[in-house]
Order: sequence, then C-alpha cells, then structure tokens
Amino acid sequence: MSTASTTPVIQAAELSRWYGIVMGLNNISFDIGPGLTGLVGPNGAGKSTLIKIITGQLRPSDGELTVFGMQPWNNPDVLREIGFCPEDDALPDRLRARTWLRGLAMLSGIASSAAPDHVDAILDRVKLERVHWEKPLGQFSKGMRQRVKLAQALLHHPRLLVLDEPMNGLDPMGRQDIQRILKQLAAEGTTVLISSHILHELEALCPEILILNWGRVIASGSQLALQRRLQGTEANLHIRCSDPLRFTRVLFEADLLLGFDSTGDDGNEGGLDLRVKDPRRFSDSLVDLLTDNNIALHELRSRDRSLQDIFEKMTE
Amino acid sequence: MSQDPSMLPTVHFGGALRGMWALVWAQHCTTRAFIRLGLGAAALGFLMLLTINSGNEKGWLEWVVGIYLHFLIPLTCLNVCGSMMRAEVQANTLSFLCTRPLRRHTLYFLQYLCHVGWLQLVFLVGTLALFAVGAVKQIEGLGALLPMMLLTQILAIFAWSALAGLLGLVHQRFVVIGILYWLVVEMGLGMVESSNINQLSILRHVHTLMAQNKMVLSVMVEGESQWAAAAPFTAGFVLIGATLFFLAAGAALFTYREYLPSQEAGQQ
Repeated sequence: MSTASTTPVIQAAELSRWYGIVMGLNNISFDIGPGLTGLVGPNGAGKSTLIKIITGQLRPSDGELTVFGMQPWNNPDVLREIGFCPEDDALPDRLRARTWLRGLAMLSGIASSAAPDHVDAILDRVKLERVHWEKPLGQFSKGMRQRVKLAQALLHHPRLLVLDEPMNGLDPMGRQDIQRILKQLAAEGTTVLISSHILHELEALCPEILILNWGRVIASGSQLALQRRLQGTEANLHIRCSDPLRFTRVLFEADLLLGFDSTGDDGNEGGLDLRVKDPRRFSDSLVDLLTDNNIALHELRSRDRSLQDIFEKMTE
Repeated sequence: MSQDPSMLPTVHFGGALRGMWALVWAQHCTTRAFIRLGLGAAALGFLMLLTINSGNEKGWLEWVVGIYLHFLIPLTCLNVCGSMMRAEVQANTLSFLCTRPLRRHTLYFLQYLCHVGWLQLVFLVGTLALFAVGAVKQIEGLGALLPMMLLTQILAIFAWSALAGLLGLVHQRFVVIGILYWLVVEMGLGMVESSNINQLSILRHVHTLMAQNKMVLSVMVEGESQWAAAAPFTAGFVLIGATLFFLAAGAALFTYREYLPSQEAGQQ
C-alpha cells in the first residue's frame, strides 16, 4: 500500500491473532502509509481485532505489527502517537464531558494548567455545542457521543488516528463535519485509519483501502488500483450511442462482450449496460470499432466505480 | 493538529495522577455518594448508640474491631478496589485508559492510589463517627486510641485494597473469591496457633497494632494469643509488605493479560 516515497506508518508481517480456537486474523501482511485509509470488511472479518492490535489493546498471537516502527502493546512511546476512537458507545455516563476530557488530557501528558483551554479547543474543533460541555455524558445523544469520543482521541495530538465506525449515529450534517475534520487532519499530516461499513462515505474520504474478510487481507491499495485490478477480467459500462444494437453485435464479433442489458426507451438512441470482457483490449479497440461501423458515441461511463462494487467483487 | 514527535507530550507520573484523580473523584464525589456516606455513618452511629451502654468499653470495641475493622473495611475495599479495573472492562470504557501513553502497570497504580485515597476519606469519616459515639457513651481513653486506630486502618485499607484490586483482575466474581479468601485465610489460617502460617492473616496484624493501646489490650486480649501486643513494627511491615506484594501481583497481571469486554461473558 505504501509507495517508495513514503515510510509506512503501520506494518504487519505474517500477523495472526486467535481467540482460543477461533481465528481473528490469519497470517496477514500489509503496510499502511500516511493519509486516509479505509478499513473495510463484513462482520467478523477481523477489523476490530486489527484495530485493537494497532492501538495496543491486544497482542498478536503470531507475527508482528509495528506502528511507527515499534510494537504498540504496553509501549507509551507508540501510544503517545496514537489516538483511538472506539466503535462502542460506552462512556462514563456520570462524568461531565469537560471533566472527563480534562482527566484524560492530563493522563495523556497535558499539563493540568493547560488542560482546560486545550479541552475547550478540542471540543470546539469537533463542534460539540458549548451548552453540552458541562452536561453528564449519560445525557448525550449518539451523535454527541461520537463527537466527544473523537475529541478524546485528539487530545494528545496523535500522528495516527484510528477510528472504528466514527460515523455511526451521526446525522448527515454531523457526518459532513467529521469528514471535514478528518480530511483536515490528514492534510495536516495525521495518518487516519477508518473502519466503517458505510462504504460510500469511505469512498469519498479514503483514497487508500484495506479489505479484510475471514481474517485475511483480500485487497489493499488505492481505490483506483483496486478498480484497475478488477478490470483486468471484466468491466461494467454504461454506454449511449447512435445504434446500440449494431454496437453490441460488433462487440460480440470482436469477442469483447460478455453480456448486455438495454436500459433506454428511446429506440436507437437508448442506453446499454455492458459487461465487457478484457477492458484493456476494449479501450484500445473502441475508437476503431466505432469509426469502422460509423457509430456515434454519446456517453460512456464505468459502472464499477463504487467502493461497494470493489468490496462485493473482492468478498464474493 | 499533528506535531513533530519531539513536541508530543511526555506523561509524568504526577500529572497522570492528577488526571486519574480528577476522573476517579468525579465518579465518586457525587451528591448521591455523599448522601449515602452520610446515611451510612449515621446508621452505624445510631445502631451503636442503641446497643452500647454508657461506659461499656468492651461493647464499643466490639463494634470498632469486630464489625468495623473485621467486616466493613475489608468488604468496602473489596467492592471499591475490586471493581476499579473490572468495572471499566465491563462498561467497555477501559480502552479510553489503555490507549493513553502510559505503561499498563502505571495505569494500574494510578487507579489504585486514587481509589485508596477515596476509601481513606470514607473511613476517616466512619472512624470519626465511631469515636463520636464513643464520646457520647463516655468511653474512656478515646484520645489515646485514635492515633493507633487511624494508623491501623490506613495500613489495613492499603492492604485490603491491594488484595481487592488483584482479585478484581483475576475474575469478575471477585466478591465471591474475596469472601472465600476471607473465610479461608483470615478466619481459617489466621486462627491456627500451632504454626506461623497464621502470619498470612491481615487481621492478625491489625489486631497486633490495635493491641498497642492499653484499653484494647486490657479489654480484648484476655486469653487470645492472636491479640499479642508484641512486635508492632513487624505487624506494620507485614501489612506494608502485603500491600506491595498484592499491588505488584495485580500490576503484573494487568500488564500481561488482555482485558476485553467480550471475554467477560466467557468468564461467567
């Protein structure tokens, strides 16, 4: 996943973790570089196990995982650089937001004299309204809890921010706020790892993706690279041209078409959903095929662009 | 927001202790907790007032030693310090602490110190209530007993709390284990007179310290060798040693064992 110009922030080598006889992670290796990375996988894929190992809450059963070149378990030098926002909604409900964050700030090395202002600045950053700052956490809505959980993760200016389902329970405005904050953090140099099942949000947020399934890494890299990899065998396209029926016949004859579906209702100008074999050869020969057969192309777009498609293809 | 690594905050023990103090005290120092504490102290005093006759030193000491030092202090320590980590695991809030830039044993010491601090305050109030009742009931020698009583209970709270913290880490049914420990070691082995195995009993050393007071010695000691007034320093050192031993064992366990809420169900 990392490129030659970037040092990986997280490196896993033959990492395994099992719970008794149940395998959580199965001999996985990967690198995660700076920037925003999405961690994707169905339930039970091993996402939470991986996140707990990265944040020093679990130890690997076998293999190695390093963050900034060091193992995270019981290692303050690494933990100082990691902020963690858990998925679970549990918070110490009797404590007030400010009190809780001030305590955690001091536990994170912020001087007690600086903690109040520091906490206020962080609460402003996550856009928790001031009226809620002195309320007990037990009175917080799910969205407010997400914001205060994000605030505690940012207290010590971590260089790596790990978020487990940070968008859960947020309204659309809240999601936009969090996305904006995460993008800003990434632009400032913070590495952000986000686990989420809301794939279209990860798609918009994370250029890099790590897909887990059954405890194994089944794909990792940029969304673009993953898309190209999938297109090595077939691609789904939507096309609109002057003579769709003739165009499909031409594609069949050129052994480029696996299947098609007519989507238009306007006769010859209608659209086609195509399943194209060998996308590279298709793109190389498209212009010639159109020109030779005197077909005008009005629209051509991929239907394989979504992270959902990548995810479904990788996990099927 | 991201900073140069050299600019990242270094956590000092004192600063971290203040942070943990703020969290633990904010959890304990609620209006409800103070009402409960006040009602508890009032109930204890009221029961004593009802059951002790004026000038009845033995009756008053049986409350102080037999109820307060034998039961109330150990059980409260077990409840409060046994749950200091276990409650975080069960509430799924331990990750907020474990991902702070602290070694796990440091985190455990911080929790212990702050919870013990709270308990010392609670039992200081309780002891003052006991002595207030003693004054009302015209018990003599209270002034001479108070320093030894406070010293003894301070040491006992440290020791019981360290043991409770360890038991809380061993299993979520730490209260049951603690009561079994109390029956087997304190009430069982501690009563064995033919062997030094009785030195394992914390209560035995509590008795030894209390017996330095003349009133306690004259009223409680007759015919009971476990109340020997000898070797008070040894008793004090044993209590401190037990504290350090249990604390070190708890810190080691917390350092090497993973605590996850999902494992709680498996422990049942």
